Amino acid sequence: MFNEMKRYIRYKKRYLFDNVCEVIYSLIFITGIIVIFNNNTPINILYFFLYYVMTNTILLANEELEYEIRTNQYINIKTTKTSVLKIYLYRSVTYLLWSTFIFVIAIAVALLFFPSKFILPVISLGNLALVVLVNLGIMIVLYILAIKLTERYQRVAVFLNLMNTLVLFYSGLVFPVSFFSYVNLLNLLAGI
Amino acid sequence: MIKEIQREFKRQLQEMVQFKFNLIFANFGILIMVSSYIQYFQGTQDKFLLLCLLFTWYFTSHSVSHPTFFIEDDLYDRTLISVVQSNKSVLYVLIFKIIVQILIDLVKAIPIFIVLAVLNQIHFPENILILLIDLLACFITIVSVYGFGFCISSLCFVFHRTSSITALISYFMLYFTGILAPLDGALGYIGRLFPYYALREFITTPSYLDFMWLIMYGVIYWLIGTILFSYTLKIAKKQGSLFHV
Repeated sequence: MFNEMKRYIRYKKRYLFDNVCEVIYSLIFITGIIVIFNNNTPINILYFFLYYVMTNTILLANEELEYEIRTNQYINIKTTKTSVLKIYLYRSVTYLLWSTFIFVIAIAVALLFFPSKFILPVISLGNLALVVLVNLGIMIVLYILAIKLTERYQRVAVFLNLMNTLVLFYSGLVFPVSFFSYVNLLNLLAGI
Repeated sequence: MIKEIQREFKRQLQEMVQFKFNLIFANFGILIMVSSYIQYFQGTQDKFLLLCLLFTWYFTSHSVSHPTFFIEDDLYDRTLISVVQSNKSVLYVLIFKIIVQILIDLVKAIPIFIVLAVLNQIHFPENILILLIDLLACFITIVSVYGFGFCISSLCFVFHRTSSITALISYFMLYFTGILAPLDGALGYIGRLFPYYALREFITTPSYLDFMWLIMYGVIYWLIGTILFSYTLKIAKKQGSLFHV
């Protein structure tokens, strides 16, 4: 797992300009969502964080796997002792930490300029742990599904981006929805 | 030129059909995104205004990135040197590709935005002339932003890897230039570097001044783009960097 982190950091340094642009792209997306939000219904930072980290981890894994398939590196990792799924599960930790890092930077920037646009919900440690565990479980299931889909169909990035759009607008994690959604379940778990 | 446009348009349409599943998913994503934004802002903004601004953004997200992709691909495939040596200039080929791209985007956008207008019950202006003038203003904005994309694509001759910044400009335009919501303060001033505030004001209360501003944006972008393009192409020819070695 630590070797995967080292590999990822070296890759980021190797293509520094492209990766800096990618970070700025993510920052623009996160701060952009915060900027357009109505002051009357501030954004729930915990749920926004859960949405961003879950979806970005899956999208990063898909992007890397599709690249490895396209450049024939997939054949190499398929013939190793460790299965492709296991390798990508180790990599998921790196993607998770990277996504968290980007989100924290974006929130720090947004906090300077738009502090009234978001709230941090008051939640007990036990409920927070429960919410995080449930989301982690769901994320692992979706992550494995995305890896398997990518291995099977090789080009599913557009489909996964569509799923990301659906989660952004209809899960209730970011934008409010008028029907019963995933966020209502989370509120029950969190005791909000 | 018309025959060349027809030929290239037909080729791109056939290529679109090859990737039909990707096209369906991408367009469905756009449908959901635009519909959700219209629903979210319906209490504070006019739905027709938002539809026009997002329709314009759909095209201008390609305006910023596609000229750069065209130049980068030609540089990478080493076909740009063939274009330079041919009797057609690089500028001619780029403008020709831009025209084809606008037509392709029209083919993709019209069904999506008709469905959006029906699903979100958009009230179009009763006077058809006002609707046509608003659409004309949108197209002037699109052509203007192609000028901006043209400026960025000219940097490819010097830097070779400018496509990374075009995606973030596209998202920046969506959130920070008055398309979804007008912003105050420093962000408002930065947003006015793009023509969307002028387009927003024109659609809300049409005036000759706002229309002139839209045209001025286009003139300035295309003027800077043309000068930058000629200058950077000259530098690339002198440095011999058109071979992408």
